[in-house]
Amino acid sequence: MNRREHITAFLFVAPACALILLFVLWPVVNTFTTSVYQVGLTDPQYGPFCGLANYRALFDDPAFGRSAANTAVFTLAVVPLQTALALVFALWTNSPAWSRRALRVSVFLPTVLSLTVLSVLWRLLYEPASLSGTGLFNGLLAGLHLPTQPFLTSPRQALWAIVIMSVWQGAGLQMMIFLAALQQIPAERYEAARLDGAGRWHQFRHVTLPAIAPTAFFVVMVTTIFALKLFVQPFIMTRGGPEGSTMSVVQYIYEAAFFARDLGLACAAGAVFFVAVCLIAVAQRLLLRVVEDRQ
Amino acid sequence: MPVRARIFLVGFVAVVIWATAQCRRAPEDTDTQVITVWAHHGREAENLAMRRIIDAFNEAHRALGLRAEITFFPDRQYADKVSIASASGSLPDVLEVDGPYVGPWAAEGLLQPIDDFVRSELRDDMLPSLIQQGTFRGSLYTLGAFDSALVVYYNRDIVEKNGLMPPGRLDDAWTWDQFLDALEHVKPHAAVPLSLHMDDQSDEWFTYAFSPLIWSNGGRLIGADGLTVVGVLDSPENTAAIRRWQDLFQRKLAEPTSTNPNPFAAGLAAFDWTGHWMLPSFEHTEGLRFGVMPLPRTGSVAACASGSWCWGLSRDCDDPAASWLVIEWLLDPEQGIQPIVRANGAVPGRRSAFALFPEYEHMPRRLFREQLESAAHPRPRTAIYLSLTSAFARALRDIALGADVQTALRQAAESAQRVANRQHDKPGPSDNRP
Repeated sequence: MNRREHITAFLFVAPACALILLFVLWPVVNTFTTSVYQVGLTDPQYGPFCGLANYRALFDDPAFGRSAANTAVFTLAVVPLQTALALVFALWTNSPAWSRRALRVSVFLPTVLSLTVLSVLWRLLYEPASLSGTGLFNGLLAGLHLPTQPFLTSPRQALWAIVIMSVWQGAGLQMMIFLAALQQIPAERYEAARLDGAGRWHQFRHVTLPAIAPTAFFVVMVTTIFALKLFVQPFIMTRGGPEGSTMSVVQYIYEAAFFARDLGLACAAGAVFFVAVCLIAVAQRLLLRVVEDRQ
Repeated sequence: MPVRARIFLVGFVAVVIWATAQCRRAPEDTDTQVITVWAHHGREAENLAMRRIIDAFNEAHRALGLRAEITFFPDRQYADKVSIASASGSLPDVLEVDGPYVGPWAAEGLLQPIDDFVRSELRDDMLPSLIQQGTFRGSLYTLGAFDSALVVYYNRDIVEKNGLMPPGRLDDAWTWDQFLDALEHVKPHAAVPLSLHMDDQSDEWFTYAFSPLIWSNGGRLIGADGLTVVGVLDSPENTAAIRRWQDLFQRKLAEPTSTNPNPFAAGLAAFDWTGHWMLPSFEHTEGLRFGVMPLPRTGSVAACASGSWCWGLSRDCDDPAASWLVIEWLLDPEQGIQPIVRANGAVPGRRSAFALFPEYEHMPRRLFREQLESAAHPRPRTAIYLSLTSAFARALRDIALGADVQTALRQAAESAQRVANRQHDKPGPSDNRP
């Protein structure tokens, strides 16, 4: 490349770099600095430096531990379920037939709609039997003579009700990514496998799966990060209740900043969360490399 | 790069720069002093009325060289918007404040006291609930043009046909036992004996609607210092009052969640625990015959809720005396109160303003006025109000679903106390305690 091309290349990258610096890196650095000061939400200036006091208060608060545990359970449940469901849908709809294409659209549709709107709708679907009416799911259960369920109003069921809704909502996008990977696999490989006498399962196990493994890792990583950022669904459907069973880390941060008006504490929680998400992403990346090296 | 593209690029940049410069060019009358006003975005009729009030102010103050400019922000984001503007030092001169925010914003030094501007005639003419709402640690920070009232509506066709005569006066408010008896009585005749709007998405509804149970039983939400919660929110009086409230759900007299946001208008509910804001829609519901009664008492005193949007001067206001003129105009019975109250249906905030509203001589509005003049409590004004209200609302939601009252209130108290303790350690404007 000559000098002129270097300059042109730099000019092309510069706007993106400037935006990332301004809206991603600077806020991250700012979060870490704010987390070691006493500072209220509306204070125009930082209060005194307080070292790790905000972090100590954070780890002393049982609500933070609870929200971290809820978020972990949610992520551990959503990631395998959603990835598996997305793969099943991708295999099922990987065909030019119009009926399969219609199915593909209907599975993809929830990802296009607003999560807020979907949360409101699902709250109505999950509504328990009450004096003035019954939600759709409980109506179906009652119609089938099965016991009705409290769903969102039970501390034991609420998080799982949100897991199911989130899997349904998110699987469509992952399905599209899997579909793209499936369509990259050359047909000759299946032909060769069939000539060697491989049945459908062996074709899937030895042709499809190895070919889409890198995509699967990508999907798992993206889903993990999305799942860890859980906020909208419980905030709208349960407000973190009942009895704190659906409180997420992001809601904890929001409440620390805007209710407790404690920016120092909120930034400490944000910093801990940031480090945790980074560590998980890096761990997954390393795992991917190990698997790739083995192949 | 081809020449044509270069010309295009230069032209484009020039247009962008020109457009940006245009945005910055505010109307520059050097003689006019602009007072900036921020308000929440209400219903369309309300916003229109607000604009008219401000236009009339500008007309009347043209000779003085004053001009008010109002900006509306969506209701849900209004408080966050103000908090962020405060941190960046870009608050307007005059701020609309939702009642419960008076405590946090005054404690954070975001508002400045207005005692010096409020003449005694004005102070005496205001509803006492509005003076209380605007007072934080002995100083007055806000005044509002209107207030709210919380009552129990009843369906005459269900309630009176079953031989019940609900009271119309505060002094005759039912006791909790009388109320439960009445609900049991109408239970066979109504799908929902009592509608409590437990599906409300805001935390504030719960604190607004059910704190009167605690006050009526002699309890408080938070200590007088505004920072003691443990031992106060979970006191024996409060536990007893909230247990009585939990009876409603356990005896299936009210539902802890609801698929129907408005069963009363549909004729499904016998009683509806809600505010003045539902009155106009009930009045326009065909075939609905209803009456209004005060909240039942859990203890020896009748208590009811109050609180609404009010006006204050911000920390960044450079000319408080000129800005006060805007608030004074907004509180003027004819210029400010009449147009806004006609648009939003709230209760006028000044005694003298009732002369313009003859409907307050008769039921049901007579009860709204009577409550606000004698028994209304605003929610507590404390720096930690937002944590307190969210903890209390969370506890009430769980209690309605069957959680143990004592445990839920204790956990709520502990979670709010944690915030209060950190507030206590913090230096700054919040430390100016009397």
